[in-house]
Amino acid sequence: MNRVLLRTGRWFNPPFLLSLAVLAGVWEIAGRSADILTLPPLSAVLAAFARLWTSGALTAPLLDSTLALLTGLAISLAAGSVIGIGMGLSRVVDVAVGPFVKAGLSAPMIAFVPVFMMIFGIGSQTRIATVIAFSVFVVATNAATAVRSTDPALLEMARSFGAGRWRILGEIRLPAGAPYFLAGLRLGVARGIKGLINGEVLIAIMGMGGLVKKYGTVFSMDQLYAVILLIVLYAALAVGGVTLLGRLFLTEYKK
Amino acid sequence: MTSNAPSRQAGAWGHRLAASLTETFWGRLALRMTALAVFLAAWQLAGDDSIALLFPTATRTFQAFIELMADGRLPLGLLITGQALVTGYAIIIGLGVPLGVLIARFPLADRAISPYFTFLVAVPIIAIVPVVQALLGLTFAARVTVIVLFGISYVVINSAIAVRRIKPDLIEMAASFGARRFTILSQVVLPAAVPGIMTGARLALGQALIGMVVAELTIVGAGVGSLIAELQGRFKVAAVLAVAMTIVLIGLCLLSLVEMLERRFNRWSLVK
Repeated sequence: MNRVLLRTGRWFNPPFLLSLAVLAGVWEIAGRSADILTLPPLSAVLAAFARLWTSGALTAPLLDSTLALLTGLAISLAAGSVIGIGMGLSRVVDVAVGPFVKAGLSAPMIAFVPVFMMIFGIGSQTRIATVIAFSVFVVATNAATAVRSTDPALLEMARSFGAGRWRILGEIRLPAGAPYFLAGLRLGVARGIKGLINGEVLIAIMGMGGLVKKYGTVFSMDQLYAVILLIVLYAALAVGGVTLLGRLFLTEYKK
Repeated sequence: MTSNAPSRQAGAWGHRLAASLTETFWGRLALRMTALAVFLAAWQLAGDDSIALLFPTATRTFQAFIELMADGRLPLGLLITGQALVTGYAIIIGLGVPLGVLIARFPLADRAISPYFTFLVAVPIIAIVPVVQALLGLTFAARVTVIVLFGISYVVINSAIAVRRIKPDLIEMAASFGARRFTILSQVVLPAAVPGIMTGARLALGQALIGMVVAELTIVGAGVGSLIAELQGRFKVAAVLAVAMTIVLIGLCLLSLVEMLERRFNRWSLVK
């Protein structure tokens, strides 16, 4: 828990809060005095957020997006783990598939979104495909590291007691690699959310990203900023939640 | 027991084959080429060319690629899009490295501004694109801004970490020999931080490439974005896929170029 506190401590420090307050003040004053369409005062944004939240306009897209995210992540987790475990167990698989996984990890996969849109249509499948494209490679990479990271002494002991390949995998390699799997999950969630929002903004009619597009095109700026605020909070909460769950799981597990 | 002998022999043979495939350069190459061939064959089988709307086969995609290259639309689009990428990436490096050094050397700056960059890493930047568009319009500047927003935080954070990791002895020694602040910065701090900065530069390039595609698709410009939009409007799936794969492959080439530079600098700093 100490590390969590330390990390939040980085955010709750006086200079940062001061600069944030100054920024908010400048925003509010500029928004009020200049009366530019693109910069509504901060108070108007917060009011719009409260209005949208209480009216329930945000609830349906939020649930809709979350469902797509979870579907995509589940597929990524399953496929990524299979690929990664294969890479970690067999040198042949690693050599054959490894470079492609590495390429997928760093390549701008977002370029495929227009293709997904044409093949799957303007529907939920497109954003699920985007979530998978964004997250599957990082899950696979971490799964491979997880399986590889086992202490050789443990492996030798298991072998000398006559444990088979699958028993070693299930009872030694996978439990020992749990931290790496969790790291992969966390990165997968972070990247998956980016993929989700990217896909939704480009599809333009679904979920939270659809709201960005909807309010952005009619220049309803206070509502647009409110939706951005929602997305930011959503991403932060999801990644923070997975991190926290992972840590709790690991401490329980070590006991 | 006798039935076990042949299988054991086959096992040994398999091990030798696996070793020759993974331990030699040509073996690895052959294995990777086989994997690529399997992938292409699967793609070819999964594709369906009967209607232009369906998922295209590898050959149809390649044909579309040749056509787009031959009539010059793809090279032209890539050239125009590339200008935004080069400009944006130059700003990312030119602005990001000094900001990172600033954050690392002045605790107050660290506390006041580094949370914003942590925030930029965590947030899906595409959500902010409508704001950029409203402020700057459908312009070159808007597309460059999106690219900078996508990439800059990675350079800032990695530069700051790299500068902070420098051994204080080095700086102390330079100071005790009477070096001025600026001399210390340019002669000691920056050279020692180069490997870390290069890591940031590589990560930022990956993000800048994503930003480039996002900017092209949302703030439609004269580059690849309008080409994709036009092909999409005419339901040319194979052509859109060809454009997407070209972007991805060029991106991978650029990334491995920067990775090579990164490795070169790494070695250089070890020698120092």
